[in-house]
Amino acid sequence: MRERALLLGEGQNLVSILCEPEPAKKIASAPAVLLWNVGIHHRVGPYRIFTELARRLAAEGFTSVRFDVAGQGDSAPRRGLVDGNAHVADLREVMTFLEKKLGFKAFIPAAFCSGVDACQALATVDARVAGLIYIEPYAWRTPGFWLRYPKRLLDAARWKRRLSARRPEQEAGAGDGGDGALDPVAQEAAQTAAGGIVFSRTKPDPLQFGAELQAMADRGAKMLFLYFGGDTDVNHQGQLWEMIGRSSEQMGGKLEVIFDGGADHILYRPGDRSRALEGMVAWTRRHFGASV
Amino acid sequence: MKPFFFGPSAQPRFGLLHPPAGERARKTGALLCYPGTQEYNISHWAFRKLAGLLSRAGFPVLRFDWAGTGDSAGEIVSGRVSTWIEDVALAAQELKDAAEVERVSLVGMRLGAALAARAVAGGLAVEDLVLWEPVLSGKRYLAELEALDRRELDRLLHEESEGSGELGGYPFTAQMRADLESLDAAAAVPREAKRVWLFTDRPSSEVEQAAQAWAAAGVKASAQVVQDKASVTSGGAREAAALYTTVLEAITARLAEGAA
Repeated sequence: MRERALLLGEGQNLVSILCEPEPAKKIASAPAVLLWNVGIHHRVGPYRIFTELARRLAAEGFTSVRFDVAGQGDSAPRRGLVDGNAHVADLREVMTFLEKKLGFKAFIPAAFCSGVDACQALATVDARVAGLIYIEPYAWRTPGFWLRYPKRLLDAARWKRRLSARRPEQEAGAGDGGDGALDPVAQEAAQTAAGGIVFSRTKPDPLQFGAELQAMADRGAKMLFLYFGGDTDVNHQGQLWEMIGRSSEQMGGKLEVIFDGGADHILYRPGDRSRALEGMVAWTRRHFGASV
Repeated sequence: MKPFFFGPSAQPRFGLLHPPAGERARKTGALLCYPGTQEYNISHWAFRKLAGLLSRAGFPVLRFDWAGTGDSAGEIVSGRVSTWIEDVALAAQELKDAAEVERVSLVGMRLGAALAARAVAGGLAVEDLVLWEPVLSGKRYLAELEALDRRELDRLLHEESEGSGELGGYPFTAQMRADLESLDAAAAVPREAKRVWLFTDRPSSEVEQAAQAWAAAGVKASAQVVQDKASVTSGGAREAAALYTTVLEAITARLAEGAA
């Protein structure tokens, strides 16, 4: 594995790490993997997950670039304006570097949480996206979600949190809502009403999202979605299909879902991260490991 | 700004060199030492802003990732406090070479402050040593990490992980625990610093005592309280550390006062 630090982009403003496999391990014509910021986290990702992913992929023969989009992480802001999503322009400039300098023809962007916005905008229109990985992408509460919702009352960890949050000796900062453990939806509504949630995104229409995924599947793109169930709006392996109104069969098996019900949104625990990393590497190896 | 790898080819460290901006290029470089574990992620933006302020004040600035963290080579499970203290000297020399300066000042936050102080106590000569919310007792730091871990596990609805070999979202080896338990930054006098500044966002008897002990030992040391709206040590919205402004300006002013 070899890593090089680069400034990419037309403005030479995107701080990037090119992570390449040993020449003997490199898989001919395999797509390059793209990794970038997750919320306030710079290119290394929460708990360094993208650094680890890049290095594990390199051990399997895949090249990756992890980078900071313009104006975030370590990257300087873009000079001038671009049409549409500025992060898409950054992604395209990194792809152009990989195409022109290293000969890559296909790409696998891997987006975590809000990174999905730019990735989806890119992947729907750019056929060079041969695959994509979405970690904790959009989620909508479906009728199935609400049917399963009462099951939280059987969760010992939620009861423990509710009870511990009521103890007077509880450390400061621990009780961000004991009742929220048992009814996170009501807690979220209360926080929103009180102006307590300052970060929000506009989600696309789920059926439109599904139609875009269908179009990508129809053109042959492979997709991996990872959802975690610990503190999120997803509580079942099959909820994606409920959300987008399509089936795995309609997608021709091009879209796979990994659901880890015990993991949280940011993969705080190393074991949860390790399982997610294994899943992503195995999927990449299975679908692109024999590229020629 | 120049991203690059430096140090031993078997385990390179990642660094970002900010050249001095503006009309005045100082002859002293500023080396920034990140905090450890999850505090690294939530303070990264503050360090970027601090690097920008110092650069505009005429300092060449180097930020770097400790071995086994960020973009540097290696795994966190192989991390050792002794290696990270060596990293300070390694990065200081790299800054001198890359920026062609003869002198450096250090700014370290939390664990980074402890490592910087120990490097200076061990013989690394510097102009100014800025210790920002410093970890002075490794044992107290461990207790803080454990309390934070309990809160986070509780918030995320996970069982507590006592004995799991994890802390703060990372694998945490027995060796690292032993390293931190024996880390006593207050006991090692940073004699090789011309000036030592200790910044906290609230009065701290531990920090005051360290400053007084070091002053009694002949070091020009001073503690200062600078309040920002949030900090990595507050129990509330820790991510708000990204919004630091006042303390960054105070640190920049201190370095600019003393440096050539």
